[in-house]
Amino acid sequence: MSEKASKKYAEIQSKIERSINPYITVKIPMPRGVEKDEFLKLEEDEKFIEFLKNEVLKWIKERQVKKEN
Amino acid sequence: MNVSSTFSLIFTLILILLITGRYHRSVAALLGALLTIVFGLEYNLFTFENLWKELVSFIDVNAVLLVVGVMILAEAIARSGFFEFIGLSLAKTVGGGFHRVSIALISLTILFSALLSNITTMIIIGALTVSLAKKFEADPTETIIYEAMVTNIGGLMLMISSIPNLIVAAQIGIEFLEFALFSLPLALILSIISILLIYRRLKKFSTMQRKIDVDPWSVVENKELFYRALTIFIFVIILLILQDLIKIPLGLIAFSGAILMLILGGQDPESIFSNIDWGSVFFLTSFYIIVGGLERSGVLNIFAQNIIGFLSFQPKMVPILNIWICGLASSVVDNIPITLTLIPVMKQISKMLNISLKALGWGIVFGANLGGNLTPIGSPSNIIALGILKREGRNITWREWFNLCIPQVVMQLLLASVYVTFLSVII
Repeated sequence: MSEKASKKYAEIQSKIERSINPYITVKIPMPRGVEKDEFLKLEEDEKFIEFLKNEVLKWIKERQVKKEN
Repeated sequence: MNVSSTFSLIFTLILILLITGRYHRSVAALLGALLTIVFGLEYNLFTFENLWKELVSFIDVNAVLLVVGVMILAEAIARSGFFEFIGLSLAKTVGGGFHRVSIALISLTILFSALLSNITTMIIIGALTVSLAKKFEADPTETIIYEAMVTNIGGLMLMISSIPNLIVAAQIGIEFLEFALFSLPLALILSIISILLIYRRLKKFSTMQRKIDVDPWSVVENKELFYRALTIFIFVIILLILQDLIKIPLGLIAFSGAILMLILGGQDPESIFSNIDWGSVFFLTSFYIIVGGLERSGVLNIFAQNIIGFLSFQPKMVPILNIWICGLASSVVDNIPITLTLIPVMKQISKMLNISLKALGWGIVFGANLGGNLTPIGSPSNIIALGILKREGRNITWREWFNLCIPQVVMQLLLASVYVTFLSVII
């Protein structure tokens, strides 16, 4: 696939993906005292992503309970 | 070396460059056009005084304007989010298992590729398929390969569906409605049979049932621009349908429609231009010059005479042979040069053997479109499909491709052969 077609595909795919399987992208700045390489690797770390997903779910549920009360 | 040998060599060199993919196809064609000019001057086929006039006379301006106009219109409508909107609406309506959604997407691919280029169709449908497959936790591999395959059936439907159709229609003089009248029945028969065969295969991989809870409007960024683009597009299609009555050349209708879209469509012309496949436009115009050189040097005449000598006993077989020759050649070389080269040859054969030129033209259209499915590199949509699957971590071998596609493509070419025989009788 040419570079142009690849770019166009990525653009359309992200638009459709957001509609069908909605997701959010959060930017987390590197905290002080952390090694850069180690921090950047977290983006691909499945355990870390799973941990974040669970935290997000917990946060949303807590807010829902607060709202209902 | 005499003039015909030199021009045959130039043509062979360009074909080798196209098959090997050593350079971008438009670069190979530009080189061919340059060699045609240089050796045309050397052999006094052209003169310096009349050079530009003669080169322009080789190019079918109507066909080029038609191609550029349709590209701009299709890009504008694609950018409005119309096709993603239709795709999501359909997937939401169909629901059920992934095989049902796949069949809906494959059917939609045929319709989209009738209006859009195969590349754009495959990118939009491929993106929809990958996202929906994730939702169903299903493997999209076979669905995407079948989608690539059916883009070439959609490419048969209308005159604007593919570049070979536009070239044949412009050079042989087939109008928009006439084209649809003869191409749609075959395209519909092939679509129904292919979809039934694909359904039987995909049904085996039944997946969980999922409700697709999406708002199709979420892929449309601006509703006003969406409606504007759609209105202008429909208006131009109506003008193309009425071309027989209004007597305006097709190229002028499509190009005027494109200008109207750029003025009233409300989209940024720069971003539309940046997505147009200018390489194909260079390729097309350069190849007109190469074919002009072949014609002027007598190469095409020699080629036609040889074919006539070979086929004079079986003239009724020529349209069928056209399908298979074009089909096999299109599986390894771009179908545009095949179409451009064969048309002048067919014009001579039509006169000498008293065969309907339109029947010969239909043979080229069917073969050039359907043959692209024979190999993974035969059509741009196949290359895009394999690229999408690679991104998803799935590498398809040629063998896997052949196993899935060859039986269907052979069936399609056989049906097209029967159909073109029928057309030869009635036109």
